[in-house]
Amino acid sequence: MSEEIMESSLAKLKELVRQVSITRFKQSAQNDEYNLLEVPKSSEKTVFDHWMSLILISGKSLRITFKTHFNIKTCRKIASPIYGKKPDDIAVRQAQDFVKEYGNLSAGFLKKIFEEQDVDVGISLPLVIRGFDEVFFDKSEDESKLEDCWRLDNGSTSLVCTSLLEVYQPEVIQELDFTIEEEEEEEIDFL
Amino acid sequence: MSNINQDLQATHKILTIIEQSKSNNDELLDHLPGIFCIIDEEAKILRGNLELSNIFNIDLEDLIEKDFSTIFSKEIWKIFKGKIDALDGKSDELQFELEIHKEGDDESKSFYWYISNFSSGKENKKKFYSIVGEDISELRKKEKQLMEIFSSIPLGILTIGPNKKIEPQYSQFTEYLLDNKELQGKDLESTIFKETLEDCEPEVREGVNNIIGSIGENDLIFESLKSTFPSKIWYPIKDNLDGGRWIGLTYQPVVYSGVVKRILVICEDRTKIIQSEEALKDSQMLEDKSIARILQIKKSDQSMLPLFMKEIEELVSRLSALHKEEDSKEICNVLHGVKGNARVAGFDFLTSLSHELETYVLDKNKSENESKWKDIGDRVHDIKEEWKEINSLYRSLSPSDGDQADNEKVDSDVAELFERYSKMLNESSFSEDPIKTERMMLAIKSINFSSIDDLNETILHKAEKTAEKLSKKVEVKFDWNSIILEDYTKSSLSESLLHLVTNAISHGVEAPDKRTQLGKKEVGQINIKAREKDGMIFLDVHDDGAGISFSSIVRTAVKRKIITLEKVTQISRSELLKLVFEPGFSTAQELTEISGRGVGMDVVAERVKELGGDITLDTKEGKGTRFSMSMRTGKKTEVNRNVVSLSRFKNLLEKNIQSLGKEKSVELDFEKSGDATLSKGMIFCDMPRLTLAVTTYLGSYLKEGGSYKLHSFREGNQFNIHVQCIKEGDDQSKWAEFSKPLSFCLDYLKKHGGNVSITSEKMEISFGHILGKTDIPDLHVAFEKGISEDDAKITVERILSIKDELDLSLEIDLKPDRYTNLLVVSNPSESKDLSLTLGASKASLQKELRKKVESIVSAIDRF
Repeated sequence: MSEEIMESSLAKLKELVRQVSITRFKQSAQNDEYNLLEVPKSSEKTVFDHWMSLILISGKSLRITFKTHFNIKTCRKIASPIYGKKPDDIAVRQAQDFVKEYGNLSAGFLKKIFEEQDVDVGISLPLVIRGFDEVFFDKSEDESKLEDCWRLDNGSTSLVCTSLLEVYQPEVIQELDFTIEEEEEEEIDFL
Repeated sequence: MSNINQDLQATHKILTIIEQSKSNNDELLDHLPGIFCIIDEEAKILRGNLELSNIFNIDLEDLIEKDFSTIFSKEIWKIFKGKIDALDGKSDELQFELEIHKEGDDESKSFYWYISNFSSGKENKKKFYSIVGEDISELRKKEKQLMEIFSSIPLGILTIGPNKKIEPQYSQFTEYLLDNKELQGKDLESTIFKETLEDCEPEVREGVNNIIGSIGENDLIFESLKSTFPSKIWYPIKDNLDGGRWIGLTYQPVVYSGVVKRILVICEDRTKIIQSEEALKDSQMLEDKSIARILQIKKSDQSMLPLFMKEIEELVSRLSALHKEEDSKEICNVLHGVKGNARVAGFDFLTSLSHELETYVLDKNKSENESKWKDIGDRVHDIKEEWKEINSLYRSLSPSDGDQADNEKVDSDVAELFERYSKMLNESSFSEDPIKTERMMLAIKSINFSSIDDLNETILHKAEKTAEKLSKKVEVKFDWNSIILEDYTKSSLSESLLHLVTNAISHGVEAPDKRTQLGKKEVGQINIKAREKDGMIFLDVHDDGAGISFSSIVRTAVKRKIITLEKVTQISRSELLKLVFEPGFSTAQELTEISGRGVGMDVVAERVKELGGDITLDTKEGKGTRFSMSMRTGKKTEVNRNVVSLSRFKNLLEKNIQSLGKEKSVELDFEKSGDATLSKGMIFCDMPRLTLAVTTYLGSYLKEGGSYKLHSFREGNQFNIHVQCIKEGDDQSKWAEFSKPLSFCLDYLKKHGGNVSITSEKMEISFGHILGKTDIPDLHVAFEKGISEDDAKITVERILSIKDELDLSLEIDLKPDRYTNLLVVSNPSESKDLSLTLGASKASLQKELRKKVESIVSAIDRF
């Protein structure tokens, strides 16, 4: 019975994170043409791209590590309209900050959703590190954990997002009712 | 702000710093000068740096997931993969060198790789590998350039590393030099010194150990041991023409902080140098041998030399055939003959070669198998070669009409050699061998040569004066090309030539007006021509004068009762012409102060005969006269200045027996001689060769072993030695057979008036012309004919020098005899008084000798 609750909780979280991911990305990239695509299990990689942005959402009931894998070239293309610059004119740091902010917004959005359901969580600072550092993350199999991977793709550019979901109070999560509403467009606030 | 928020802010701050720090570290890795990457098991790149992206020629961010193996050729990747596989669970890190091949590049690049397992610290199913690659292609390029330089240097250059093995980098020439392509990682003992150490002196082994031992030691230890390191080795190489190489070795330490880390060894091919040195040495030896051979030939008795040469030639020519027949007995006989002839002729090398082979053949310890006969064959070859050399030199030293210039050079060379060997004699151990020393000393001391050219001026002067007095005109021409003569011979020849030239001018050459009437040149021509051959000089004195009237010669000879009229009809024209040389013959119509009644001509003839030659005459009336003379050049030692006492004779005999290879013990009993009259104090002067011949001959008999009584006594002018065998049953016929090859000794003896007779019981040897006509017993000094004043003096001095051997008081008697200046020293058995009688023809000599002999007697008496 508890396994089912755990699975159901993890599935609920997985879906939530994916929805937040695509919703916030469309807003961040100011592009509605992005779709969320599955990444085939068979092509599971150790390292997804040269860079990786990550942020942690953590509370008593759950922990979510949200990672966006990218390279500067792709990122420049995506961020070009945001900065109002040609891709090549965007600095590396600017490109990285764009992904960081995307992660931050996504985490903030999740935090807001959880707090509306009386689930307290905190979020970390978003960080950008090398994609290779993926190898340092614990891949051990556990029923309370779920690794998820998906692609945000608009046909010409794509990013890989991954999440590591950990549920500590499945009964709490199971009871939650998530409704994702499109927020009004906000000015991106870069950290 | 709540406490939680403050904590969060602090944590965020730290995270920001750590992120920055990590970013910097990652950048450092990106900019590492070599390749840095982390790959998974499938060689997919998980993390790479800029250098690697350069190799792939893609952006750094595009390296992820690229196949690392593609930077290698397939073959090289297999090796690399093998190394990675070897890492698993075994070692932390591997280091090795492998080349990568960058697409589009023609050349491969050498990299030095460090690979290790990479652990994330988390449980991962996959394995990761950290790889660092150091680009050493430039280093290798430089090395290659250096190696190319090394390769062009004909030196083997290698280093012995800290592990005491040969390091990988060595000059290509080293492989050629040592004929070994697998030197890397080997030790010295199994490479350079492999063959040397198999059979070497302990010092060499110690030296090699010291090389190895000095690695890792203080450099001062290296310096102190350096002198023990082998500096030259023979390195055998199969299929090499020389069978190997001489390798010169030098050592240089590579020192860090005072410690020898490695040793640089430089190997040099010294084969050519050493071969050249040896060739030079051989050539020097050959030259010395040739010099010695020339000396031997020059010092040999020239009158007997042709005989020796002929004998040896015959004997040596038999050796090859006898070797083929494997007739050891006859080979020994022939070798014995070669040895004996060579010995008396003074050919020392030939003597020793023959003796060694004879000993070898007779060696009963060596079985007569194929190997022994091969050795004998080789030695026979050596003897033949030695003989060939001697013979060739002998022929080249014998002057001929066409090679006068060469002779001058040879004579000049010989003069130099004599000087050189005289010095050697004084310094060397020659003196330990009395026979050799004696022979050498005799030869050297008697040399006092000069050129015949010296006579030109005297003869021209005499001719000019004579022609002037007779109001004649004459031109004397010489054609004798600096022939070298012994001074005594030259002095005799000078007198004879002056006589002949004076006679030619006074009796032959006409007055100028008469010559003009006869249609001749106004100036009379006298041509003197000389050639040298086989130790003889052949002289022609020819004038284009009136010649000698044949009828007047006959008339004068009959008139002077030199020949009867009947006899005239019985003898030939040439014999009639010889009458001119008879004492008292003169064909001149007038007596003049210049040329008398032919007195000069008989003196000329006598002098020529004294010099071992002859004179003939040919004349054509109205055309001229030709006197042809031959005489010895004097280059042989005609006048020997040596003294041999009886005790010395015995000593020489014993030496001879020993050197002939005594097989059994020999006892010689002189003291018990039946006739002891001459057993003491007998002195032979100027006959060392005769003595040598007798002792050699006698020695060849006595060497067979046994006890012998030797009787020595005088009989008339003969000195005799009778040898009687004491033991019965000895086969004397065997002696005769054995010493057959020594017949030259017998010939020599006979030529000098002696003889040998052998019966079944004893052998009798008699020496020639010892005493002359004196009746004085005991002590005798004898000379051969023609001794000069100087020689007589020197002989007396020599007697004085051996006074130790003269256990006698003396009476000295000088008497005129048929021998010129015969000196007889005797000891009357009765009287102790000394008396001295001088009877030589020249008063001055008598006086001189008297004084000298008196002083000798006085000295001996005091002694």
